[in-house]
Amino acid sequence: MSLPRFTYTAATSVEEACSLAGSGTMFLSGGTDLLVSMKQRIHAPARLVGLAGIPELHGVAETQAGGLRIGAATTITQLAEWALTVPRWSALGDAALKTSSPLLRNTGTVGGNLCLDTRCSFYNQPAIFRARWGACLKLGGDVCHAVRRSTTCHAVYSGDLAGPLMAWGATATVAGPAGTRTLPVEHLFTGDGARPCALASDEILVRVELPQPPPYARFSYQKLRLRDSIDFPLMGVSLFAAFDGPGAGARCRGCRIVLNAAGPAPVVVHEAGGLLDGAVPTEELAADLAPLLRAEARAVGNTAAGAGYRIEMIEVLVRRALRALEG
Amino acid sequence: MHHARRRGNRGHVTLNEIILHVNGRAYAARVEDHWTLLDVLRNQLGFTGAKKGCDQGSCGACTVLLDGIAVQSCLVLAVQSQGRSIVTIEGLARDGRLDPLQSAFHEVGAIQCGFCTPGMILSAKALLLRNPDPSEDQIKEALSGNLCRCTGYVKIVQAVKMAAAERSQAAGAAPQDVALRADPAPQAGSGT
Amino acid sequence: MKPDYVNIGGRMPRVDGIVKAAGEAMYAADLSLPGMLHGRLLRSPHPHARILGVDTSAAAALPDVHAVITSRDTSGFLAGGIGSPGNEPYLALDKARFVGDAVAAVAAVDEETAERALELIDVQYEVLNPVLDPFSAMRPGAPLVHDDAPGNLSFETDLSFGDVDDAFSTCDYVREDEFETAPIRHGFIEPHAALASWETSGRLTFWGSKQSPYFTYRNMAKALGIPMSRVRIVQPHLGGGFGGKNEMFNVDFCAALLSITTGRPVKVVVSQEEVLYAYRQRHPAWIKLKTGFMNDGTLVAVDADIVADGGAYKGIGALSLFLMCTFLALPYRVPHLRAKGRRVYTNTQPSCAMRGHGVPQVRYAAEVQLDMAASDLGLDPLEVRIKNAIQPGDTTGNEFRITSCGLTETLVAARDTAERWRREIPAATEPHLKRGIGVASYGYVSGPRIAGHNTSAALIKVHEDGRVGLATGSSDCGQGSSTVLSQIAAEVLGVRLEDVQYASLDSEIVPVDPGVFGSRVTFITGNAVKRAAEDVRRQLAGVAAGILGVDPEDLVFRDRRVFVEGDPERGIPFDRLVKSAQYSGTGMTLLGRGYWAPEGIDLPRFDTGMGNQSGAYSFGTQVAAVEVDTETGRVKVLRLAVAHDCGQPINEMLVEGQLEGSSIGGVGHTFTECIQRRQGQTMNASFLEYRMPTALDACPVESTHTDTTDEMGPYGAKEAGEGVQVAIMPALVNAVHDAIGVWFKRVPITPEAVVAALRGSSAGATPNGGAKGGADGDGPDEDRGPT
Ligand SMILES: Cc1cc2nc3c(=O)[nH]c(=O)nc-3n(C[C@H](O)[C@H](O)[C@H](O)COP(=O)(O)OP(=O)(O)OC[C@H]3O[C@@H](n4cnc5c(N)ncnc54)[C@H](O)[C@@H]3O)c2cc1C
Ligand code: FES
Ligand code: FES
Repeated sequence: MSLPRFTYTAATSVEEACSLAGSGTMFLSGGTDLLVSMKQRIHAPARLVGLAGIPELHGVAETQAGGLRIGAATTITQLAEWALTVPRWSALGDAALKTSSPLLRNTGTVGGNLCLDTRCSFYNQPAIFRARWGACLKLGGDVCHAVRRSTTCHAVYSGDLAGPLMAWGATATVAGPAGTRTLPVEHLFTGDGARPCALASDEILVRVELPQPPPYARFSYQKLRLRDSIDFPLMGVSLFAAFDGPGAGARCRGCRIVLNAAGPAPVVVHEAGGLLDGAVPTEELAADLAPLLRAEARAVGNTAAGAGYRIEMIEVLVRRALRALEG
Repeated sequence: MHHARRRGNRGHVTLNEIILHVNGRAYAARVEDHWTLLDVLRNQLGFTGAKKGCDQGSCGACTVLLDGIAVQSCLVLAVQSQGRSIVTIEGLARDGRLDPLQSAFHEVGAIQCGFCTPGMILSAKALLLRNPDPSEDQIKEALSGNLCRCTGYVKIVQAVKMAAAERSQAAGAAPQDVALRADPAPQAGSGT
Repeated sequence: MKPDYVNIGGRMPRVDGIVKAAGEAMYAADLSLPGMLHGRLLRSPHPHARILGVDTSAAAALPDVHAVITSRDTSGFLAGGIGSPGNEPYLALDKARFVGDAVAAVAAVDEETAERALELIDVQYEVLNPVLDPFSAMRPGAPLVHDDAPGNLSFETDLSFGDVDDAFSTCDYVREDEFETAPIRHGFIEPHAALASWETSGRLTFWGSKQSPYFTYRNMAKALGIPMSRVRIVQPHLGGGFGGKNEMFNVDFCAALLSITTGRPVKVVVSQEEVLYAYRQRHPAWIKLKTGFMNDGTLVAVDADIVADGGAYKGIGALSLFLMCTFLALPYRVPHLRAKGRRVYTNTQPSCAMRGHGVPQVRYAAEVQLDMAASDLGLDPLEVRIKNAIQPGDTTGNEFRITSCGLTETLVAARDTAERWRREIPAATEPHLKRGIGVASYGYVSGPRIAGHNTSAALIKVHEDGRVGLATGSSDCGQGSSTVLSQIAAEVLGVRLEDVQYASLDSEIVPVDPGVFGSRVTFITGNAVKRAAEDVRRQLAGVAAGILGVDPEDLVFRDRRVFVEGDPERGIPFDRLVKSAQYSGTGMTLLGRGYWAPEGIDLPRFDTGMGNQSGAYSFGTQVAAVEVDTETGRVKVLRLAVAHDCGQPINEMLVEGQLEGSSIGGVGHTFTECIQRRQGQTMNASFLEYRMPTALDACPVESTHTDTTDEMGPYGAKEAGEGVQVAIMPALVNAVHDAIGVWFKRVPITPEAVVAALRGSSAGATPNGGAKGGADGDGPDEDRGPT
């Protein structure tokens, strides 16, 4: 299918982009998600406002405070390549490399990943599917094909970056007609599969910022997928922890665990982080942590693997994350 | 930038006249905003070496180099590609001589039906531009967005290794690669 | 000792490699003609619906739309059905029979306009109850996909020899299992594409992504009601076929009819999405298999009950079912065999040939069951295979005449490989990773006969400069046939491979060919090329004999020279000889022709499964090493090896390429590939969700070649590209068992199935006995769906 017809405007500043927003308008960053769903006629905006030409949205750099600032239009490859050269950010680079395929990472951006539309086997379909099945909740209809009689949408946030960024404690800076605001990355998500992104239609994600990692911080992102490239996550666990020292016997001093691809929004599982606090991470802890994560998972049968299996894998992913942190 | 409006029997159609720099040459193309780079390369400019496999970012057959970086041209708008250096498979040979990657693909049997080949070679090219001496794992990783159903990838990986080895021996290869990476295009305007 | 060939057996790059590497090779979708229009097809969103009316007026009125056609504009020709009448219209007549069945087509100035026009076509459907799996389709009272097929039965094969029931009573050990294979994709990256140009004089020229162009040649003439000689098929490069581009499809027909209707060239390129939901698949099969052995591993009797989901139409399904049944007779000696096969219609995508054509499904069942039996009997499965291996000179109970056969040698080689791997591959470092090795064997045809015409032919023209032009009716879908055939011509004429130019197929002058299927090209067309080249050589030898004053019989053609045997100095360069031939006297034109088909090949008896299928059979044994992640259930393939008997390989590099591609494809079929359907709707019509292996899933593929020379094959060659996809699934499944002790009777082995099996639940390890729905994963209840 060709793309539906639209006019394209390349914005050159955040203000310009916001001022062009309105109904029937969508922002285009790398386009690796939006253009595919437009070809499938899931979206058909009359206007696309291109963000790639806005200098402010570009660049990865350390802040004076020792944190990390990532422009929303930074490609995932740019992020990974930069991070991998700086030891204290390299674990973030490793996580970024688990996203999609090398080709898609060259175009797909960090901002697009965070504002990513949610996915569902019954939603990401060509037009011929809807000709028979009708529009689901997410498309303004009144049925959920995935869960019988459900009144809420179960489409899954399937981006790979939100989990890791939330685990590192990242904040998002958002610009709109009323100016800019900064919020924790988790607040970008509504938890509603139908309308997953909390930004107003005339707001733009400008950048994300990670605070300076505490000393002896360690991080791991574990992604469940069927092939090692291209595939979206079927479940993801991010574990970020500060330690009281180097080496194997060190104890956790502050820890954040995030579950992604488990439901309409990625979630920070605070209790799990608390449980790990003060402990020396060992694989055995997975059995205690996993139930807390499972309680937050909202998996249903709308992805490439069964919900039961995905939930069961949480413990495996947690164990692997713990093992990676053992040092 | 030029802006032409045509009032045809298909209603109002906005055709932008844009300049695309493909394989070191500037082309004027009249495009609509919603046309992909892949469609414009194939249908307007005749670069049919860029293949349409899935048109949805999942096979890599449409891979081209944009400022030296491998991208899927089915997911890039033509209007977004102005002012950037585009290299298609047709642009790899120099003075009638195949790029070492092209020769290696041919010689080791990395080509069967050939439909994935242009995209595969360009992904490999982008890899070698950044990493002239990749390990086998790095090669597999770099090609993992390009699907091939015929070869099972075994000889493709072998071909990239062989081209890399040849390149590290032949000192003369460098200038060409610089040309690929640099932007030969004078700055053109942005889209509408 | 083997003769010392110049152009045969080496590692020669393919003749079309450079144009493909350079991006110059033109595929059907790359072509355009002045004034060309673009066509698109409208498809049924319902799996089963009566078409009450189609209103095309709004679409036809859209500016820049040149034509809209429906079945009303066609003759109603029904395609498919070898050996019996076909039942597949190119545009649905009264009913749509699967989601994707084409209902109408549009030609417009560009694709977008055509797509917009499709949206304006109003089809009135009366939605009918669909049948979505073969078991409910066979139930009494089930809706009928075709009114003339009671019980939705498409074909039946009832093969029997020996006395099976009696034989089982003499066996020491008998076991019965049910196996299930999933519907899968050919997976070519090039979508179907067709360009047709009609001339007022009544001639149609057609360029299409066709694997067997002469299928289209014949059907096009019949469907359009024009003489065959007025259909000119020109073959562009082809982006893979694997069996899925053999038949003429609605895209081909619609391009032609739209061109006739509009008087303009029309190109129709379907999207990959459409390829994935609206075109062919490999037959999913349910195989009930009972096998009896003696305690020493001697195979005594096999009884199989096969149900194959044929999808909505016949196509060439009779052959698929026939092959499923008959190939239980290979590659072991089976004294008593009964194979009852049923191909059943359902309201899903039509099933057809795919690499290995029917045989992978049954070999999967039989080879896994053999390992199960060996394990119960306390025998080494490899030794059981060696004990029962078919031998040269054998004739199977269903009349396969085995001539050259190196199966035992391949088994011995596989045993060596497996032993070496057990030494070389270290135990997994982490406790949750388990490694294992498995083997499986196959036998395959070199060109089955499906119709009366089984002859391939070749034409050779020698250019004045000594280069040789070669044309045949066999297309190169990537497997390398143009190279192999050029090598044969070069060898006969004593020139170099680079001296041979393989011409693109043009039905106007190139002889008709049965088609590129069943691994027939090297074996059958290869022989035709050899004869055509010999024809030219004879003509040239006559001239050379005159010049050199010797008997033509005493001449040798080699190294671009023609010389007297035993006296290489006395000779003449090939190009000079050609010139002399053309310029002396009244001048001669050097044209060679040759055609060939093996003699004594029976027409398949689809009902009884009897008859010799091929002039030669190829054999091989696969070895696979895997690592199972027992926590996530994912399986990583570490190494693959193929010990194969393909006769004399004409080009080792190309043979290796076939083995590698086939093997890695099989990795996908075993672990990740499966068409998922809900209510007849293909849910994973994308390369994102239909998961073919990527470069990261590839692994080294070793190959060992067993030295046989087939008496009939050109230079002793046999089939090489398809057979290897036959035994890869069972080899991998057996390797997984070796690693974790679970037999999987259903493929693909998903991570979920592995985890469930290790937990002790039988969910994945046994066939989906209850539902028999096959490929549906979990998700909403089966009774749900659109209304
Ligand atoms: C075959 C395939 C496989 C994929 N696999 C993965 C995977 O494994 N993991 C994964 O995470 N993703 C995957 N993706 C999705 C996608 O490539 C990535 O998520 C990518 O990071 C999206 O970024 P983008 O810039 O291309 O987004 P776009 O498509 O440009 O935008 C996505 C959405 O975000 C909005 N948006 C973008 N930027 C902003 C901004 N700055 N402010 C406000 N709104 C904005 C857009 O309006 C749009 O709605 C895959 C895609 C494909 C086609
Ligand atoms: S055609 Fe662009 S990725 Fe497949
Ligand atoms: S060579 Fe055919 S797809 Fe790669």
